[in-house]
Formats: sequence, structure tokens, C-alpha cells
Amino acid sequence: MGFIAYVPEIHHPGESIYAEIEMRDGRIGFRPLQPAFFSGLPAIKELLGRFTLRSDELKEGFDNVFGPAVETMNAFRLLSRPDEDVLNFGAPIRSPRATIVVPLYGRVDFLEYQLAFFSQSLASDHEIIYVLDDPERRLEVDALAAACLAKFERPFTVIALAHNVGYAPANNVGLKHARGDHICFLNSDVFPGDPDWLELLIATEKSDESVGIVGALLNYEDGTLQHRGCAFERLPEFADWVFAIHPDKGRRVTLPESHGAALAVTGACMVMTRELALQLGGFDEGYVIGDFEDADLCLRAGELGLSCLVDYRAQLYHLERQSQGQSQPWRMNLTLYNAWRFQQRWRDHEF
Amino acid sequence: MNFESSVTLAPGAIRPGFGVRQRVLVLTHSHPKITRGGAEIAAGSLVRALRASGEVEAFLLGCSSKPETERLGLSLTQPFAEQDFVYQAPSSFDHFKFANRDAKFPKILLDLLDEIKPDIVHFHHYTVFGVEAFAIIKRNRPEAKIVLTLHEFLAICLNHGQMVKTKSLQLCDAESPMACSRCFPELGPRDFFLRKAYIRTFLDYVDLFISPSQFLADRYIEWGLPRDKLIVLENVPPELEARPAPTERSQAQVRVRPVPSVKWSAGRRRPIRIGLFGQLSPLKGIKVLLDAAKELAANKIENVRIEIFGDYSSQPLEFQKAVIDALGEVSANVRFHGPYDNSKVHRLMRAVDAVLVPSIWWENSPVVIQEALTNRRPVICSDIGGMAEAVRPGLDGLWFSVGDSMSLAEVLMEVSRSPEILTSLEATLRRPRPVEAVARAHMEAYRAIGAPK
Repeated sequence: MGFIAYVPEIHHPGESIYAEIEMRDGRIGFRPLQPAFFSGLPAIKELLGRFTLRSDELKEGFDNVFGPAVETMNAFRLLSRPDEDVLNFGAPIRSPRATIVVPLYGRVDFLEYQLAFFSQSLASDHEIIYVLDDPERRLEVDALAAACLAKFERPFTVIALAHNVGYAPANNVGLKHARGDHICFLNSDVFPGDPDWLELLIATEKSDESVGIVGALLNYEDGTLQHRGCAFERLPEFADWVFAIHPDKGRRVTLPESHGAALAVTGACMVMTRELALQLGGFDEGYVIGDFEDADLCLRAGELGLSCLVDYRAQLYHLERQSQGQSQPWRMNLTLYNAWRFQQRWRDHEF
Repeated sequence: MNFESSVTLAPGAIRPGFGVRQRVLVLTHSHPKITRGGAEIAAGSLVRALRASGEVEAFLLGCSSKPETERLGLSLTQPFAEQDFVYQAPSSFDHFKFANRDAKFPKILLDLLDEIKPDIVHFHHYTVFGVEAFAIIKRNRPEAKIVLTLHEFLAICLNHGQMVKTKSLQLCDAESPMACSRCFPELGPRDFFLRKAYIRTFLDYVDLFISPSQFLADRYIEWGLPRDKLIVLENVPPELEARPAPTERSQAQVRVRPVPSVKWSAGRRRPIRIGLFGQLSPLKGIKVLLDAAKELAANKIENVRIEIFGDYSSQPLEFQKAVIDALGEVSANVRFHGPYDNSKVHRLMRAVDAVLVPSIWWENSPVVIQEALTNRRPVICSDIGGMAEAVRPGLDGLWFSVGDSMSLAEVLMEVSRSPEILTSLEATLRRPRPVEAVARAHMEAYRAIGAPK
């Protein structure tokens, strides 16, 4: 048990800080406070791991305490940008048609699978950029990447970041280095089903000027649906906040051999012109680690009058991790923080 | 590498009297001079038989992970013979999906192919080389045809390719990401999905699959290999008994002499000898055999003796202890002879009346059955998979219910009552194809996919 308070702007160099606590009966106590010894993501995790809120406490808790606190810590952490080591494996592709950007964290061996599958079917004039957001795996990735180039003979680039930044900033680093006319944001746990998936997505993007972002049909390994476009839904168990949901997830559905409109598409696999991605400024880095920034990007494209489509013919597998990690309290609260931020940003949007 | 050899082995060399000889590189995951597993023995026998035909220029590339074959800074050496190469494999190999992480390997392989210029690249196994080798060869030497002989259900099943459940040792009928993940709880269904996708991606480059049994072929077709690229063809049988080679005759031409049959006359007291040959591992069914022996002893059956020739020293300690304990209990009707030199197998087999194959996994195409039939000995085996395919009940031997020691005991009691069951089989025993014929079938298969006539 204890207290968590948000007190902005208390940093006075050289002075020690303490809390003054006044009880309802008039008693007053003092307690010296330790200066922060965490910062960045560890501090955010530490904070978010220390509380559980009821649905009716969510709004007040995040509006007054956790929202601004995490927002401030995240903004501060993003002030220091990591060094980027650009490692070209093979000669870079001259004027690529598209750039695939894949952030790599944890399961770096997925790089070997993806490159194996890409080396079979992906046209040779697409550029592949991995953004290694897991500095401790650098040596492992160097060796694996060298072996992959030797055996698959398919050039690609690894951008190794000096410290971990999270999903949106890592994708934005990839975007900054991308040279293709189109950009495909792809998760490392997404693998081609249909060999023409990228050509289909690009063609669909080009098919209509009002189309901004094109998503793919994603399945689980057992053939059940993972994603056919996102919808928005208010969840009463979470203060009636709006969440992006995946209709028909886990089900077996028959979809037309064409495409369909969607309010948003998952960032696990999305294609747009590089021009649009740059115009939107990439993903909003205010969302921490990886939640909601894809829906946010789609809504921002919508503000420009551009719509989202899902190409049901472009089929890939999304081997989304099992949910063990999600049960940790900090992970749940992080999702709630990102949800809170999404509510702030799209307060006036009609869902 | 020997510079001279690359000169004498120019591509398409016309040899007087032979026309254009096929050039075949056989690759195997170990090397028959380094280890004695089934795949490397089969690869070595194939090379020897191809050479003996006089129509094929055959090369062998085996692998080693042993320190004694290491040479500082080298990955390819020729410690044994001129047309015989060893790839020193680093420990970085990913055995989960058979992925080679040695960045130097593609160049080593391609340089060797440049030197040998094979028409056929024939793999016995893909582990240690990595399944990517098929794509590397196809991209860079499309004129070379790729042949793969399948061993066990290695691509299908992570449990050493046995298709047996890890904990219960129950037989497994089909893989699935979920079922495989139950055998290996530390890995998830998606890992097995990716494993299969990765392996399948590269098996696409193989021009011809050879399966030593129809049973194995059917399992691989069900798994997804294309039926029209798969043939059933037995492996070249292992080297026959070592004896001084008479003048110019090659090993492949040495035959086993006809073996006189053993007759049991009425009242004769010689016991019926049932032999078990090979590695004594849990899946080889040793426990089934020892339990059956116990049952025989309990039923006072005294004219059946089990002769065990094999080694358990490479098995898990717990299993070794169980075997030793069990051997102690049934010592009256079981004789344990220990490991044997494979060159003696024919002599040993001819000293028994029947050969027992009680495996509790499917088996592929057990060499021991080939050897038993070569020596005109009937086979008593489990009624599943590669064993049931190789042994026609009532013609080549007898079946019992897999894993069922009572069923085996009943068969042995029947034999005890009427030993003539075994001798009468001798008239109907299948005769395995001789080495030369199996080698020729391989050469024909090579021609069918484009090797020189």
C-alpha cells in the first residue's frame, strides 16, 4: 500500500525533496523522497507495475496522475536518440520500388525465416530494412545476417540502434532510411502466405487516389483469421474508452477475392506511399512500446481525406505471440496508458 | 584441395568404352569413416557401388564435428581419399529447422561443385549441410540435379524423426503445430509452423526424392512432398563381410554363399535361437523383448533362447540401468553378447534361427531386415510401418502386435511348439536385390532426371 502522486516541475537542483502529508484530522507528517534512480522505459515499467485501477477510477487516475507522468517520462526518454549503425548486407538495391521496414526485438531468429521466405518470392527491386531495437542481440544478429546473405543471396540492411526505443520510434528510423516509392511496415512475426502479397498491396494502393493505407489479410498458423481490418468499439470494462478491435479474430471466415474498406488496419503489415508516411510524420512516438499507433496513423490519414482498405487477396501469417507476457500488470497498464492517450488525441472524432 | 585431380576430372570427359560417365557427388551428414549411423553407411555403400559399376565418377562429401578432423582455418579437407571430402561443421548449426549458420559454407559448397562439376548431387540427409543447400545449388548450378534420400521422418518430426510422442513413446500418426508443441512444451505451435514452412521452402528445389520404403514415402506425401517427384528405392546394402578380396573383384560383387537350412529332427534338443541385432535403445523395443522372455520363462518354455547382439552404452543412464536389471532377471533364456563389429553381422546372423525386430517406432527400412533376408533368416517383427512392409507375414517371417510383449511371447511359444514354422519359411523368403541391381536402379533414376545416359 502507498501513494502515487503526480507533481510536475519540482526539480530544484541542489535541494532535497520531501512529501508533506496532511491527514483529515489535521495531523501533518513529512517524508523525505529519494531522487529518481530510474528513467526512460525502466521507470515507466516500474511505475506502471505498481497499481491496479477499477474501471471507474481509470479516467481520473490517468487524467491526473499516470497519463501526464508517463507522457513526460516518455517525452524525456525520446530526447536522446540512439546512434544508428547502418549495416548493408549485400549491395543496396538501386531505386527500390518499395521498402519493407521490420523492427526486430526479442526473437531475432525471425529474420532468418523472413529472409528465407522473401528470397523465394519477393521481387528483387524491393528494399528490406531491419531495425534492430534490441542492442544486446547485436552480435547474434551480425552473425545471423552474414549467414543469411551468404545462403539466400538476397541483399538487406540492418540498422542497429544503440539503445532500445520501442515500436513507433524504431519504425520511424526505418522510414527515415527508406528509399522506396512505397513503404511496407511489417512485424517480424508476419510471414508471407501468398507469394504476391506485396505486389497486390502496392497495386491496391495505386488503384484509387482516395486510398491512403492498405492492409493485408492476416491469419494465424492454423488458418483462423487474425486481421481483416480494424473496427472501433467502446469497452465498458475500460471506462467506455474506444479500442481498436479485430472483428472475426480467431474465426474461420470466407471473404471475397477482392478488397474491403476498414476504419483502420494493423501496423503488423501496412502499405502506403513513402510520401504519405513522411507527410504524416511516421508513427506517433507518444504511444509507448507498441499499441494504438497504427490506428492513430490511419485516423490521421483519414484527416487528409485518405481511406484504408484491406486487400483480402494479400494473405500473410501473423504468428502473434501468446498472451503470457500480457498478464504482467505493467503491460496491462501500458495498454491502458496508450488507450488513454488515444482517447485524448481523438476526443472529438466520431467513432 | 588437390590441383591435379581437378585437371584429370575435367567435365564431360570421354572414357574409352564408357561414353560420357555420370558424375555424382554423394553428400551425407556425417562420414562413414567417422561415425557408423544408417545414413552415412548407406551413402558410403552407394558411392562404392556406383564406382564398382565402372560407369560413374562418384565423389563423397561427409561432415565431421569431431576435433580430430579439424585443421586450423580450414572447413574442407580430404583426410581419407582423393574423391572423398570432409566438411568440418561448426557448432552454430540450427538443428531445429536444419538451418546452416556458417556464412562460409555456401562458397565452400559452390567451389567444390565447380571443381567436381557433378551431374547429380545426391544427399543422404540434409542436417549439418542445412536445407538451404538445395537453393544454393539450384541458383548457382542449375544444370546439377538434386536427389535426396529420406532417412526417418526427420523433416516431419522434431523427436529425432521417429514420429513417436516424447513422453509416452506412443506412436504418432501425423504432425500438427499444436500436437508437436505438446511433445515440446517449451516451443509453441507457431515455432512448428515456421519449422515446416522453412524446410518445405527448400525441399522445393529437390528434383527427386528417394524413399527406402513405401510407408515412409506415403508419410512424406501426406506431409506435402509432391508424389511425382518421389520414388521408392532401397538403399544400397552395407558392405558385406570383410574377407580378403579375391583379385579384381570389388566389394560390391562379393556375395553371401547360400546358407544351408537348419532342420529340427524329432527329439533334438538344440534350442531355437532368436537373434536381436543393433543399438539397444528404448524405441528398438528391448523392453518388449525382455518382458516376452520373462513370460516364456514363466511358462517353462526352455527351447527358445534370445541372443542379443548390440550396444546400450550410448543410451541414457536410466535406460542402461533398466536394461541391466532386466537382463539380470531373465538370464536363463536370454544371452547378452554385447556390441559386435558390423563386418561380422552375416556370420552372427547365420548362427541364429530367426531375427527379431521388436521396434516400438515405425522404422524406415531397417537394414537389419535386409541383412536377415540376405542370410536367409526369417524375421519376427512388430506389425507396423517399414517393418510390416519389408516382412510379409507367413512368407518372410512373422508379425506380433507392436509394443505387446504378450503377443511376442505367444509367437515365440508357437515357434517353440512347432520350430518347423521357421524352416518352412525359407522357401518363401524374399531375396533382397543384389548391390549391383540397387546401384543400377540409382543410375537409372539419375538418368530419368537428366544425367548422361
